[in-house]
Amino acid sequence: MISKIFRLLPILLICFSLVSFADDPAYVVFYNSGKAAKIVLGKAVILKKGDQLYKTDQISIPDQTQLALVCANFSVVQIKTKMNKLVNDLPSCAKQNTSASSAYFKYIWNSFAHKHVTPDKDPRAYMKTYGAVSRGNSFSKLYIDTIYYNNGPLKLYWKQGRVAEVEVYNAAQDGDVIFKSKAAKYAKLDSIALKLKKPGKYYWDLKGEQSANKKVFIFLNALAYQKLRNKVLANAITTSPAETAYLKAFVLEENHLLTDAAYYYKLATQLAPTNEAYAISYAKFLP
Amino acid sequence: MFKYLFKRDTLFATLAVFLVMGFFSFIPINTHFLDPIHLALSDFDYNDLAYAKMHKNENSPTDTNIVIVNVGQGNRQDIAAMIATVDAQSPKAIGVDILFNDKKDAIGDSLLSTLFSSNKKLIGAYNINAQGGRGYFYKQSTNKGFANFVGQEEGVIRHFTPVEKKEQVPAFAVAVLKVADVKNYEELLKRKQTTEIINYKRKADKYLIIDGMDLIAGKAVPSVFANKIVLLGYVSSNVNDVEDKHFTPMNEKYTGRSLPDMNGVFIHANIISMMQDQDYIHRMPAWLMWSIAFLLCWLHMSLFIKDYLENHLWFHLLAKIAQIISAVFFVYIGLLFFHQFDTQMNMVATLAAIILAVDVLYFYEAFATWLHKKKGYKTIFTHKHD
Repeated sequence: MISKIFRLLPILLICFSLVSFADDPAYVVFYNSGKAAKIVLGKAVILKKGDQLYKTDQISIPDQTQLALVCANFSVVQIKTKMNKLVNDLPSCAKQNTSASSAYFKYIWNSFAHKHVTPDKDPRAYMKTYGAVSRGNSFSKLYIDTIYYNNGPLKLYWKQGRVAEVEVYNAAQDGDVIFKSKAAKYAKLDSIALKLKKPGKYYWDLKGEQSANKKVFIFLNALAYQKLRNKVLANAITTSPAETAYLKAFVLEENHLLTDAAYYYKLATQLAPTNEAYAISYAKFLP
Repeated sequence: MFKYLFKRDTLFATLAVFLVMGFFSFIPINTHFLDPIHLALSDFDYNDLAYAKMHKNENSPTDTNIVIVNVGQGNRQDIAAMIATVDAQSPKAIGVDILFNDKKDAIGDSLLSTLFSSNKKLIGAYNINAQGGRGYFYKQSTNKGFANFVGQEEGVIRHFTPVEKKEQVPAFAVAVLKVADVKNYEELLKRKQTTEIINYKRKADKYLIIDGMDLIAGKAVPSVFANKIVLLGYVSSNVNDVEDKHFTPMNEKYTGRSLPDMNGVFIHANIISMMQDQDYIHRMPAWLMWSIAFLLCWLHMSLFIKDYLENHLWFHLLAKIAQIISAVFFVYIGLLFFHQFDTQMNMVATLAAIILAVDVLYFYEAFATWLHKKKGYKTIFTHKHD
């Protein structure tokens, strides 16, 4: 019996080594909305659900095509942009350590190593809770409680490089989310306005920051915006070109017309590049 | 029981209990996470039972020295108007329990900036652990205090630090007291406590609350502020509104998941009331608590040894019953001191010693018998159990 096992052993070893040489597919096609294809011997073979893609395969994704691929760890990669690439160069599957055992022992180790301090010895370590209501807890360097907007590029950057999603509501209280942006380090107001389409009064907040006082986004038509801007700029004093631009920017910012404020701050810094005050004011609009 | 009280073995076994406790305390790793009871009750203090079940301070009268102004959803201009209206009535101090984190509207900011920099009765609040600066009016504020409490993050608030030692800055309630009542402020400093236990006496219904918007609309009688400590803060409109709301020992549900029960402004008000009335919670000194623990453990040890030697059949049952009765009784004694005399007795050492006593007795008995055989050590554990 034992001699039989020993005779079989080399065969088993060869089998195992062959298995280890076999290359696993990098992806399995889950969805192809257009004509995304694999290039085989110079010919495009349209991908279909269930097709396997290996690292050495080349794929071609035309315009307006969405290709969803399932990774080996069951996460999904979605590609929407036009490309012609090797599978190896595609966005990598996020490899997360999902092992229950490793997560448990990591927790045990962290718990063992966690230093015990008492409030009497180190009160500061226990002073994270504060008993005061916050007013004006802004996540942007700009005053963004109210924004008047018509068109033009404008990005609101979040403080400390935070990545967040913007949620736009149709009502100040208990409204429905009518638009949700992608998580980013900024909100692109022109893109939001494009999605909202209709001028009107909208309310917004960052996801996870929702409060009783939502921020107001007033999307005006061109005529109404022009009228408001002219009214605001009527108060700006005219002096030197740089200072005039800065004063215009200041009153526009104070009156929540941020697109034009950004334009005039930029103009002021271009006209007087050495002026620190102008640079600081304009920096609020930059990352 | 007293038959074995003065036996050498009783004393040594008792000492062994404290040696074991000392040994446990020197283990450099944290094993609490393996204890489900510790995890479940990690934010629980036996003294919370004094509020929740023994109705401590339930009959405290309304504090007429403090008036709360609810700022609600008022903006900065509204808040500035509220402060001006209150200030016109000559209050003792005006504590603004609001964090103004950033710049807002130019008019409101300008009004508040002027008030904070020029009004010596006005006290601002800030978050001492804030990452992005301590607020828009921090620098120009003449008087200010940190609004932070001491406790687990978003846990039950039982303590506060009167003065942060590193920066030597006062807590918000202490800064208010300094302006309103110098005598009691100095008394507080004399105590030299790193942390004080908050003697909660009043829920929101025991303070006079004026709606800020009514105040500026002329619907409230402003004369109520004359010679009072006025705190401007946020008062929740309903139980589900948890903005600036915290867990306190006065929460009816004293353990497990529940809704926070007290707005920050009322916690500050309770602290101010306590300091004004000099109604502090006292702590029994550690040496006294350890002495009590040792004495009680000694008594228990003599009882356990008696049962172990003379009534071994029933020893386990009797020991467990004695441990349960003792635990209930000593927790009751601790609560009674807290409830009646505002004194916190830390009975943890006593309870731990009594609980460990039986197990340590086994070890001691084996060790004493071994010593008896090897070295001729005289011990009461040499004869057969009854």
